[in-house]
Amino acid sequence: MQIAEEQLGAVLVIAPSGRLDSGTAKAFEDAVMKHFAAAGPATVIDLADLGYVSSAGLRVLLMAAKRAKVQNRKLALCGLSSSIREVFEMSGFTKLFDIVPARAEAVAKLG
Amino acid sequence: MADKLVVRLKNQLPEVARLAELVDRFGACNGLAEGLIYNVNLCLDELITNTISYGYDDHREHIIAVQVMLENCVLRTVLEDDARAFNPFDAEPPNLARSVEERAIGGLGVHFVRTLMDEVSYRRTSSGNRVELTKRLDTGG
Repeated sequence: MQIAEEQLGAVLVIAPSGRLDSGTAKAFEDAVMKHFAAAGPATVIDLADLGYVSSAGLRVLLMAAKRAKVQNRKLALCGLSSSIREVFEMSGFTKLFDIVPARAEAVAKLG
Repeated sequence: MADKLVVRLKNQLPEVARLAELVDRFGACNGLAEGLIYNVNLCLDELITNTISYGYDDHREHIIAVQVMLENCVLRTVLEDDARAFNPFDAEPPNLARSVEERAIGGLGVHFVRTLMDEVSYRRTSSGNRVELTKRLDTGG
C-alpha cells in the first residue's frame, strides 16, 4: 500500500492505493491519524486507487470519523469502487460518512 | 489452471495478500466475476486475520490450509487450522445502526462472511478448526 497526500486549497487529500488489510492497516492508521491528532483542515480521503479494503481498514476510517466529529472538522470520502461501496453498505458505513463520487467534487464541497 | 486451489499459509498477516493474488488468478482462470472474487477474498481475509491475530497461544509457526473449489456452479471454500477452538459464527452480530460516536468495529468481519456467503459452517476436528463456506454462482455475485 502507498499513501499520497496533497493540499488542494484549504482541503487536505489523503489517497491510499493498493490493499488496505490487516497487514497494511497500521501504516495507514499512522499516516491518517497524524493528521487527526489535533484540529486540522477539512479532509478528503480518496479511495479511487484502493483495490481492496477489509474491516481492518474500515476500523481506521472509523477512528478518523470519530476524531473529525470531536474536532468539528469536515471529512468526506470519495472514489469508492463498486466492491468497496458494497463493503461500506454491509458495514452500515454509508450512513456514517459523507461519501462523494469523485475528488474534485469532494474538494469543492469541503473547500 | 485446475478448478481447485490449495494453499498452505503461515500464521503471518502478509500471507493474506499472497493468498489474495492466488485467489485472483484462480478466479480469472475460471471466469469468475471480479466482485465475487473480491468477496471471497474478503471472507478469507477476515477469518484468517482473526485466526492469526487471536488463535494461537504460542509464537511458533503454524499452517492454515485453504482450499477453494469450483464444483457445479458452487464455490466452496474450506479453511483448516490448528489454532485454539473457536467458532467464529458464535459471535453476536454488530449493531449497524449506531452513530459515529457509539459505533464499534468488532464483529464486522464475521458479519461480512455471513452476509456474502450462502452457507457457512464450523466444525471442531481432532486437529483443529474447520470452516466451510459455500457460494452459489447463479445468485448474482
